[in-house]
Amino acid sequence: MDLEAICRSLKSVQGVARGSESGEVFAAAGQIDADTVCAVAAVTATALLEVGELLSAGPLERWYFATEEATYYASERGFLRVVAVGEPVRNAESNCKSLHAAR
Amino acid sequence: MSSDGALKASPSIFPGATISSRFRIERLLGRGSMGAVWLARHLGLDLDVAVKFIDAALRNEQDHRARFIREAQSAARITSPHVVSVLDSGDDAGRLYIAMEYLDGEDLGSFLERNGQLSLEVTARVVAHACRGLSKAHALGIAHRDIKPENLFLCGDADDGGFLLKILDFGVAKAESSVGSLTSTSAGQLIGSPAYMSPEQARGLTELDGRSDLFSLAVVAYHCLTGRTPFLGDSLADLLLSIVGSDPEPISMRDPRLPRALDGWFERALQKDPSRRYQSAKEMAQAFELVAGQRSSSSPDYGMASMFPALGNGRASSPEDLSVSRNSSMRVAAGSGSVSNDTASPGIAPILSQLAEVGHVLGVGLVSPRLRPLAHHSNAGLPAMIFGAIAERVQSALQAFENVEAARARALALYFQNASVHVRWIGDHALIVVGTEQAHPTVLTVSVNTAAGRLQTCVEQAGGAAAAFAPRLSAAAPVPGGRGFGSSPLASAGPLSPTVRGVRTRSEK
Repeated sequence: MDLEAICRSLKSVQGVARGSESGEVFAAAGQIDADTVCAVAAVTATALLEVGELLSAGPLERWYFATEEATYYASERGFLRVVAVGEPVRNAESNCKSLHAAR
Repeated sequence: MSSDGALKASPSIFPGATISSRFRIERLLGRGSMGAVWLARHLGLDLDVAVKFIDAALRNEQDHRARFIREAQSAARITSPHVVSVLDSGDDAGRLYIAMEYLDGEDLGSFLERNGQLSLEVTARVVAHACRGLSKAHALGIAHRDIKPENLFLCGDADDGGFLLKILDFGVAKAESSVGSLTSTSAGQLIGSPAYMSPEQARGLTELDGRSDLFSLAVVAYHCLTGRTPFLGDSLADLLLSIVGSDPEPISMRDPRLPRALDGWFERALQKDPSRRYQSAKEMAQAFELVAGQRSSSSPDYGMASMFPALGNGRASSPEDLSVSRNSSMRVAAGSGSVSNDTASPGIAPILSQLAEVGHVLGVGLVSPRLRPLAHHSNAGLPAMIFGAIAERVQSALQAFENVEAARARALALYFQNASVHVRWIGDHALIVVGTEQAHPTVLTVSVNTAAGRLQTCVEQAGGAAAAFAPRLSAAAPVPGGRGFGSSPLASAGPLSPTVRGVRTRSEK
């Protein structure tokens, strides 16, 4: 699915970007500071992998981080990462799952 | 109650009204037999709650006030993820109210209305979850007495099967020990919903116990599987006679695709004589699971032997098989539950314990801003230090966001191939939940939010997180583990919850 379609299909999501696991941006749609979000997601995901290592939980497949003002979603697959930014929502988990399925 | 003029003149409830200086009324959610339920905002906690008010016409009725108060007391005593949590109750200028967790989803009655009948798998989950909640209530001597689809709420997305069932409305519940001493439900009234009544209720008996609830739940299960209730009648009298005297049509005759073994389950569950039915919710749930020929993904884990269904493809058979992943370096021992509460607050442990009981949850921990595990509960034997170590790594990971986001962190969820980790911040403290990969995301999110709401209530009641989560004096030792918890620079790096600046959207540039 193209990024525009993903952006439209997710509730309260303002922008979506596709990039590399190291934070390089390949494409973006909607309202998102793709360079910044992809770079931050890359640094964060690398550190979050340590949580998985601690639990021997295998690869990180998807994650979200919600603040009082925004929700950040990431779907990891191979060396590619799709990130999204949206408003705070009650069903962040549902958006995260949909992003992972739609990419 | 009295005919006190002040009560009669108590103000009405409307959007924008403030109740007890704590709740701002937002909108009407629905109406029940005794009152209305409103969505409200808890002003102190900035949290959505559901507030139930007794109807104005019933406010001065002693019997109804007693039932209303009893609902709050009964539900508040039961700590189960499958019973709606009561956060507060009170009397605001004559307006009796109960504040409960706000549930997102729909009741089973509406779901049945939309879907007609349900699959065996979904029904098995309904029975499993309801039995789990009833088991807790019955253990406290509380019979619900009005089990029906409208009182079974499916949190989350029921359409994708990922729901967490919660029992609502303990308005007609009665403590078995108080039978005979209360008059509000013994004055010849029929209490309950006729189609789901047990024979003893239909006969107007007042000495009911939990086995009456189990009969009603079996009627609900029959309704789920066939789209109709087992006892029918053209009038209320006919219906009651049918419940008391008729045998229901075997379920396999109504739907030949259903396993024949279910006929035996319903035959026993719908016995007229309570002593010939299943004698406990646990027994009934296990029997259903057996005849349904499956374990639902959220089926109750009543025994330690069934604590680890999701670890690997098969059932764990030895301690060595029990780990978070198939190749885990972190082993947990079978049957080695691990629990701690280093806080001075006794209210924390039951909240964590309830969350730890959710299907496929391996452990729950509460961690301080200085990354110290304050309390934890793990039926899978996860040690307290693991939660401190997770918190440390999460703090480290989220430091990148400090450069781009100014808002306080609320939640983080990580879905790994073999496990999931949820972090929910309560102020600067972190509630951490580790589940297997089979833990349903919606179920887990709803459960974590419920627990967080209850912890926030503890914080408010104690006058702040520092007081609510204050460690006992004897529990000051740092917890070793990970990269040296307690000695890491991150351990003293300040609040766990990052405060960061907002990411600018492209349009803001």
